[in-house]
Amino acid sequence: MIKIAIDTGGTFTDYTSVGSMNSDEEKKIFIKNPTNHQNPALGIVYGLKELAKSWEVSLEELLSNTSQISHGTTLALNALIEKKGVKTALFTTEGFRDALEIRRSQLDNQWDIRAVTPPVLVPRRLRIGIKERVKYDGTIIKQLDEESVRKACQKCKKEGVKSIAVCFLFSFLNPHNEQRVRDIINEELPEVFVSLSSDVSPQIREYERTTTTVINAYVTPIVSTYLEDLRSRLSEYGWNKPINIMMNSGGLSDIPTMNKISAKSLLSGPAGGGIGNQNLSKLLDNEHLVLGDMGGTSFDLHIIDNNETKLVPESRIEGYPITLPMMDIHSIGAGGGSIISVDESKRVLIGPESAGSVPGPACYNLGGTKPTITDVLLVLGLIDESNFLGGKFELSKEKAVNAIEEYVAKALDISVVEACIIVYRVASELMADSLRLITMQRGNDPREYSLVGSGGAFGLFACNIMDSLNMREVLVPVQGPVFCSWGMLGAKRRYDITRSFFMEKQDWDSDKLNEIISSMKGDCEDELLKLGVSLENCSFDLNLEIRYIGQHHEISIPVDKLEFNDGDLEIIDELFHDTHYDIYQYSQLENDWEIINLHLAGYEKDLYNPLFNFEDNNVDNYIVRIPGESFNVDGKTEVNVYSETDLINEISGPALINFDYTSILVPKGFKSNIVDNGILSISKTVMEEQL
Amino acid sequence: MKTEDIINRTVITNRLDSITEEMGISLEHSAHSPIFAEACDFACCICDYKGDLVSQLSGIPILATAGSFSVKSVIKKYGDDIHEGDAFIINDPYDGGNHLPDIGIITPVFYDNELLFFCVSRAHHGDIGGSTAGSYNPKATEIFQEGIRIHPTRIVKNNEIINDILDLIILNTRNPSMLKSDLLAQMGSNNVARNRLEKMIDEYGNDVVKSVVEENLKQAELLTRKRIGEVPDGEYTAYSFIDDDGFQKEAIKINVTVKIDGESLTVDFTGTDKQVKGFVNTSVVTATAASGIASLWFLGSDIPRNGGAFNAIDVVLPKGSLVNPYEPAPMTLSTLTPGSEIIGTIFKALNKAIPDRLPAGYGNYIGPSYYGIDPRNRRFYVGFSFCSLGSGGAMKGLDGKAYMSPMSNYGGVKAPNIESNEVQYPHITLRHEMECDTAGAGEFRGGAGIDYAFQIYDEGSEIVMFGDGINNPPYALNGGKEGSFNKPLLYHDGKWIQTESKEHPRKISKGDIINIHSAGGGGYGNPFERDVNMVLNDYLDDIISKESALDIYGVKINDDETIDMDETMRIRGIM
Repeated sequence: MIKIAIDTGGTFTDYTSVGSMNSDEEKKIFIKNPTNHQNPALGIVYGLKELAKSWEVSLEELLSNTSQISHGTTLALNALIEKKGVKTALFTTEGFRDALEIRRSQLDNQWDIRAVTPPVLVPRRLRIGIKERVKYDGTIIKQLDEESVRKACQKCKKEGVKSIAVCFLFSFLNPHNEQRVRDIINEELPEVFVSLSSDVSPQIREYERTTTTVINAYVTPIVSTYLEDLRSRLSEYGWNKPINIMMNSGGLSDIPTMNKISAKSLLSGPAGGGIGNQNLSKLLDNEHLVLGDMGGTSFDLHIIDNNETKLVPESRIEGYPITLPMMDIHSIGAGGGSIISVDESKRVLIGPESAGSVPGPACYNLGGTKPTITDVLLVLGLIDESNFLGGKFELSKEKAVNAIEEYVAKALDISVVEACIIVYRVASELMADSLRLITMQRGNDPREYSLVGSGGAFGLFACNIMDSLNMREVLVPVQGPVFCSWGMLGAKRRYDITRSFFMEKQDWDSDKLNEIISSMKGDCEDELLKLGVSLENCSFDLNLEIRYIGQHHEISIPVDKLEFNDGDLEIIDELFHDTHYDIYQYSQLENDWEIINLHLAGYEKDLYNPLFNFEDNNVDNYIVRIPGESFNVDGKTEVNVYSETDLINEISGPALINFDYTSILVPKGFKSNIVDNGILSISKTVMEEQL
Repeated sequence: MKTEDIINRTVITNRLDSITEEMGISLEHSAHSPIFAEACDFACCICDYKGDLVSQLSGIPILATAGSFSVKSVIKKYGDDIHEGDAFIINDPYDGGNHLPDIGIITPVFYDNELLFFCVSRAHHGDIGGSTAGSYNPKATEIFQEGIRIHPTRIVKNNEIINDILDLIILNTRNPSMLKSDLLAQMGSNNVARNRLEKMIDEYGNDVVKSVVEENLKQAELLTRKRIGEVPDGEYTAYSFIDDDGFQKEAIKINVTVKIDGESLTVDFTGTDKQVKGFVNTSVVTATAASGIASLWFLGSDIPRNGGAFNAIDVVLPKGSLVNPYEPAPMTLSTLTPGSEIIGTIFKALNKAIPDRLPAGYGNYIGPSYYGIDPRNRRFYVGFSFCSLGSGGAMKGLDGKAYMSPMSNYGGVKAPNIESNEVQYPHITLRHEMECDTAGAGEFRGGAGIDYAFQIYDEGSEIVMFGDGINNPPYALNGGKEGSFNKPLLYHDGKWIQTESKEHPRKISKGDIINIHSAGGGGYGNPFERDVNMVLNDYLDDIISKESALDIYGVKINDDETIDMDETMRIRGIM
């Protein structure tokens, strides 16, 4: 059977597939297509048809031989970044409607007195107080005033609200009032999406919970409409199994979950990259990798340290705290489609606006008139205009030149080529800076890391960036251009349950504990079945969240069993004190502790996700172009193509290596070698020879 | 090998910052006291062997550099008698502390028998003894009534805690087991940093690390002085008043002259009132820190906040004045008042040097501490009103930020969530929202003040109201209007009263309500210049009333929520 992964980015959508048709031998095939923003689901069907062509079958036949489809989408994130979510209202407990705006009195940059906070997603007039109250133990002390809910609904109707977030105090302990409000909204405003904080992030701390719920309400209607459309279109071709959606956590979920909480897909694509990075680290036995993924709209970074990849329980996206577990991804708005502009003070700016794939960069000749990084690379001769996207796409150099002339060169009063060189340098530095941020600024030494180059255009910048940070090498895997989707092939279908469970050390009761764990496991298994996983292929991880009595934060203690006996108390006791000491450098053996939560994760066991190899993608297609002069991007040298040869094991720079979907620049003083028949490893030949 | 040097410097500098950040996370996550677990009222830093500040966790601004003073006091007292495996404890505001509740733990870091660094954590503890629970004692007349006073003292030797000292300290407070746990958390957090530092020195070597640290201090001082050089020479004077000290009725004057002479900047407090009887005197540490951070806010956000930058700011604190009192004057309120008022006064003075870089007035703090026995678990509790924060002043081009005051805490305190508060303390919150018509009006308006009310359901608790800003509202700039006053109200015995700003402990009964109206920030520029659509938005968002729109901003809003442009232009005198 075949597994397919689809990663929709802002500009391109990548399709990766591995497996065997009927009982033929295994094949690995990937393709790349422009993202269809007008009709994303239609775009996917079109792309899958293209993929089917590569398999030399019809789409129906491909799907009938397919065991799993994984999908990552950038829809939610784009809506948040561009502030193009739906018009959203917020219902809070009366008297508490400003949590979103007053931000717990915190600022990201307290030393810059002019720094502004991110825009509040719901204006105050749409933050509406509802009469109701639950107290600290979950008891309702003020009944829900249904009339005030209906009145609020009328106001929303008048204002054209499309989505409503509901966040009441202590709803994570007692969701009754929130649930009742959802029923009323459904009656009054059946078209409006409702997001309850007790569903999205049922945990204490209302500011963070409110922000997460509001963002979910803001983006979910957009994601949900799309996914339903996709599901129904694919069913026309015979696909009736679940479509697994890539979550922020690196696990796979499904459409029904996303229809409620699409905030779980905010980092959908990049999380695929993170999982891919993790797979690559294992396959290469390389403990220190930084993945740089340059897509059409953004540049995303993910770091693997000592073979470990971290999940963070709370992260910030666009300045908003989000309390959903996420892979640790750092992102900036610099992609191939990022629009270049010059501001009044004559600074060259890159992004954050992106031309997407439609109209796309000016050179696509699809109506885009503004210059992008892709246009600049084309003019510099770094992109082969005759073989872009494997020849699927004809590029217009003339349009690129015009756009750069109009919006950059004129404003700076310089030539088009000079303008391109400046943009290239600014873009390189921008990316190098963000790499510094996740390595040096977190105290990780970049010299210990290899830089994994992925995404369409990153290969043209990678060596400069590696050089500027003195990193070990650049690694470009064959599947680099579709790396995030390759990662999704290796992602595991997964379900997480956290349950509040209070038990003090002195009240240790293994029966009680076993009972709740077994009920959690049952629920977890039900959900995994819904995701299409067979249970004999599953692993379960149990964590006990424990703290000293009187502490406010717990530590998560992994335990390697799902059933306890009375003798285990001593083991847990020791484990907790020791772990506490390891983390905080002190423990209090004389103090009692308490279990607060149980966390159970169920997921598929290790999956098969092989490297792609050169021959798999038709090595004859690679061209190596050796420029006549050293390629320095120094303002004087234009890139000339002098010769074409086959891909050889060692290539000395300066050289430009073209794949179907990407190009790699090997500058002078660098050499490229083939590793594991699937990866180009580029490193310096001469150390610090230049001035 | 210039590239290598640049990388080393960047990596080491940033690693030092990440270590202080890790210290902070460690404290926040392992502490027992809600003040530091929920509100993050602490500061972590690394100082070099001389006590100069090398790296400081972003946190409460007024605590910046305080750690450096504490280390210098330890060095002064112990000199060569500082050894590997030691740790010291200190809170004395007359020698390296800022106010008594902030206890510092200082751990020296040695490498190859050479003293290289000190790790410092300073945290605000809920109770450190004295005659009032919670240790804010507005009627104290001597420091001895404010809590236990700890001169720099060794508390760890050969990596073993000296329990005699620890017990002596904790048994003088109302919640010894919590204090003990939290002091252990501080020592642990310092050790987290010590381990990371040792690992870093292993990696880069002694000399490289030392030279990076020296270079950072030097560069920060050079940059600070360069920025001072860009300010016109001159003497810029401003003054403000704090309401009272809890005893005298007269307002207390803070007078500041900022002298710019080439690349030197001096903040001179000559003209400030003499020291007072109540607890609004300030330690040298707090006055110096306030002067340093206020000046650096003015000079630029890109200057690294390390010892080099602070060394470039000179401070003159007349002995016997409010800002440098003789012992044993009390001073627990100083980190809020007059810490924030000092910053505001320096802002006013600097605004005369170069206008429009700094905002209009921020709200000052007011709110109660509350304590008793929690009826839910019979445990002693003491809590503080972190949710009664006021709002920020406007500046050219920007409205003020709501809930970001006082200036001493700017963006550094994490105000607790209402839910966390209600789990911790036996009260229920009734309201916590921005209040209409509190923002100082202007072309750019201040942030709206907060209406915060909570009801206590514990039978025998007490509250202590402390703060300022009842008589002196946040100042305006350039023709704007002042922000609103702080207004502390109490519902007791069936009626509402307004309390004083600095009170004796008050017995309260089950069902009593505390209602703090915190100040809105000051406005900037003539309100008639404010964009009419922004005025309409403020009205629709219930930040201003229809009457204020008309009377103060000159904007007539119709019943259908549109603007009557003809009338508006007539009122504004445009026709």
